[in-house]
Amino acid sequence: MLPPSPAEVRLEALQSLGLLDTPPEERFDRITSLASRLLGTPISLIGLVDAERQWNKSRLGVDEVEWPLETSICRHVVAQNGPLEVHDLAADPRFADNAFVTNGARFYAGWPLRDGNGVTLGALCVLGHAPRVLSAEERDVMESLAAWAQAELNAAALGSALEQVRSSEREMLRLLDEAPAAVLVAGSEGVVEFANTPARMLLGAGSGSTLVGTRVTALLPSLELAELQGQGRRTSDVASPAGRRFVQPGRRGDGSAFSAELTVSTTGGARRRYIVFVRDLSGEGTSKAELAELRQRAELVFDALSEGILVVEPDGCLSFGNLASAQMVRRRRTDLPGAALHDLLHQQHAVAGACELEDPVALAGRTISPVDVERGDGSVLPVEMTVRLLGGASPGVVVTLHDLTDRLRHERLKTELVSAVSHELRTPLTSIRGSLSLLRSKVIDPSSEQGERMIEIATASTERLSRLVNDILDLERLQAGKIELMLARQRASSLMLSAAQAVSGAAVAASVRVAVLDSDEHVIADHDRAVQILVNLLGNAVKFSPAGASVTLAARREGSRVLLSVADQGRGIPADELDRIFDRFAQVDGSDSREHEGTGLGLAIAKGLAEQHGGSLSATSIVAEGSTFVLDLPAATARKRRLAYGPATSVPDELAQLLADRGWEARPVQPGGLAGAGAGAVMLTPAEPAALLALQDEAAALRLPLLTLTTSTAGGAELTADVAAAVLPERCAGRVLVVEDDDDLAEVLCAALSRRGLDVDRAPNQKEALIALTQQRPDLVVLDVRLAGGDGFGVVDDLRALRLDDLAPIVVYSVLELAEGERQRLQTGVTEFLTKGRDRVEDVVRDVVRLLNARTAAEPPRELA
Amino acid sequence: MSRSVLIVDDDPTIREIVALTLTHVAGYDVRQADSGAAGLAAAKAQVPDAILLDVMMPGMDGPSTFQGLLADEQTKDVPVVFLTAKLLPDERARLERLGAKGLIGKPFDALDLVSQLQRILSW
Repeated sequence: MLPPSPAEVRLEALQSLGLLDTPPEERFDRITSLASRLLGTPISLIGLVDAERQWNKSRLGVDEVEWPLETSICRHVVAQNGPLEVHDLAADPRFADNAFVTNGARFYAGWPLRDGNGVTLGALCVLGHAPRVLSAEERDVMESLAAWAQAELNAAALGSALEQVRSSEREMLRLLDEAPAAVLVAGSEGVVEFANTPARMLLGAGSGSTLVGTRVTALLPSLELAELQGQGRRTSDVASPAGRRFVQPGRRGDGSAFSAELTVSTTGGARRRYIVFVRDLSGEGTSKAELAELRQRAELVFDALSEGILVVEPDGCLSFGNLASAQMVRRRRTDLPGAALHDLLHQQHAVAGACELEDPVALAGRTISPVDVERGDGSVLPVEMTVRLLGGASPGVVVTLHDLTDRLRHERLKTELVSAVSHELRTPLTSIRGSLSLLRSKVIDPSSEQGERMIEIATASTERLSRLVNDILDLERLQAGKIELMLARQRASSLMLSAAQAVSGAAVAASVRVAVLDSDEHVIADHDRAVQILVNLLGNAVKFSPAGASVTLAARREGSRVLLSVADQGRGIPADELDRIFDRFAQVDGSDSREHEGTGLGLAIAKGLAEQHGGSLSATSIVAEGSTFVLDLPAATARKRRLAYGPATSVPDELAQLLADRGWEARPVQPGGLAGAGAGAVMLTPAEPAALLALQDEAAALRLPLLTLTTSTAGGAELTADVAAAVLPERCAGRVLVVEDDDDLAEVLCAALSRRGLDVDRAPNQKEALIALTQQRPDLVVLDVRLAGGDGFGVVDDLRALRLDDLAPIVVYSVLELAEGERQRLQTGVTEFLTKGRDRVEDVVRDVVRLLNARTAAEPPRELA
Repeated sequence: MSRSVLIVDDDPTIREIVALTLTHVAGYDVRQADSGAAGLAAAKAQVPDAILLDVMMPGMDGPSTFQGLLADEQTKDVPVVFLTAKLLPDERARLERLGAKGLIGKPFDALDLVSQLQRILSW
């Protein structure tokens, strides 16, 4: 039977596609490979049917590129212009004698492939060796894959049409480039797509800058997008035949201002563009006044620098010195011009001698470090001095002075630290090596009492060594800013109680009583780190207290700060030592560290952590009476986040406290009262259905997130994490595919992800996952390992086979604790592993948001067409 | 009669190990002091044949203790060997200028300690 559309039309369409007799392409092979994989068939083809043959653009499981029409099964798809499914080829008189069938094929399914005008050109088909009926799901798969193949078929045609448009566009731009006026072409968002040479000279930093990608409004600062689009109003607007014309201030590439006349016209077509002609109205050349202004501007820039800059004329005298240089030499700015460089830097021995500073020009090209600057007030400042020759008619020099105070102090501290660390490390090493060598050389019998003592010493010293190394690393991380704080509202009392709990064993052993005074204050702190600071202070207090003494922890508010204090009744710290106790390895009596097992770094770490919190750590002490250490932390401000709880007339105390501790104020609410409650979220409590429904409706109208409190709701931290997640989700953009066979969990995951602003697709099994992955091109995949159809390993294996595994990061969310080998099988580019039961849905959402945001940040700016 | 050595170090485990080593390996008569001041007092109370002196100690450090020993008629001729964790060249030169017999670096091996000590003191 002949196709309904004339064969000539189809042949012409095929020819214009330009695909016949071209080599295989991966973009089509990917589809046939996927079709075979998804439908489990040995053969899959993308066949195009012309006047006398079926020619295959892609083929899997077949060697021949083409065969005559009488062998083609796909021609029937073309003929009937719709899908063809033959359950048993051998039983169908049309195909019983077909070469494929005699070679063992029993099943055929083919879907039509059409061009942009709807003309059917061929088919995507699969062939199997057993009779078969496709499921509804499998038909969907075929349909999706055919749609994909069709898109790929037509992509080439689209591409050549696009190329024509582009070449005419290039011609236009070439003409514009030769125009005598400055011309900018901008897209509908006001981003420059093209700037001709005059525009680049006028507005850019020379002809080398393209200006492409810059906003027009950034180049012409007082122009707004609305004005560009003709929506704004401007008194100087003049309608002209070419477009709208107005005058406004502009800024040249070198930063200078000019008066710009702009003519804006708009192109038609699907992609709206603006063409902006810019004319410099301020005239040619630079006046004397402008020169003076330029000079003043340059001086302002120099004054903003922290380095000292001096311009020295050939006679050795200054013609300019910036603000920093005046401060460095401790002289008035006005004293600088005319002064000799040597006399300024060596003010204390101004008598001429054999000083190299007397001939600055001879120093050109050198960097001298350190130079001790003798300043006006008698003090000395170490600097690094760089001398560069100035170009131009008179060979003066420019001298740069860089203050070395910080660098030298840093170097000194480093040397001291290395020396202290080496001493502190060698002491336990000496004990270890000494005791082990006594045992090894059999000088001391390992089984004797002395031998056991040696083993004990070696063990204890090893522990001391490892504590020391840990502390040093902690301190370095702290100084490098690598310790991240999880700041949250914390109850001061609970921080103090946690710390007291941690040292209770040591306190009992030392017969020291630890008292925590109750407090209602709240601080902003990282819970674990704040407790670490307090444990350190408390540990010291216990160590240095005599038996029977007590240590008291208290918190009090002082303005916007909360002061947490640890007071002991120990021997106290002499006033002259108080300043140094926070330095590394600076215990008041060096033997403290031996007798009390400290590393000498605890207080330095505690202070560093306190400062990281935006707080401080200080100490006061009276010898023989005791010391008080004060940790100053920012107070948590009044609660602002309000949660409506209802239907109810009161909030249970326990829940209210729980929420209050975490910064939520819970208010009871009754149906009808939600609008006036000022709440950011609603927590529903079990109640009669009518009241619940009424509140739900109100919440929906107010677009407030709902949380349902049930008797099985888990502990406080999780509960409030859910509240927080519900009310203040971090927004994110992107497309996420959730591969999960459990409908309930999938629904929860999808809802949680879409609440963050993400587009979410779901696939319940391996097959659908692959389709979604190849069709939707998600930015990220949340992957369950155990699936009802196939498994997560299969999904990743297929992705690899299809070379799509670099597409998207994967968050594996599985009940299985995965072995290392299994993890490696799932590892593609970026892969995160979370375990159901241990990690919650919110953890998944958090990781997804983090990965997507990281991806967005890392993406290079998109190229303009 | 066995030789007597006074060890002055603020770290109790190091004192313990040095004392054990010198007693068991060399058969010396060893006494201990946990600070510079205690070391001066112990040296004067009973003049030893040699003193092993730690350099870095809180309060009176090794060099100051050494000056104290040199200033006293009774102890000025007692050979002093420093024990030090830092063995930077300028540190060694400084201690030798002060008149120290020698230096033994930490950490040290027990048997090595004895042989180094004997070599320095020509015992």
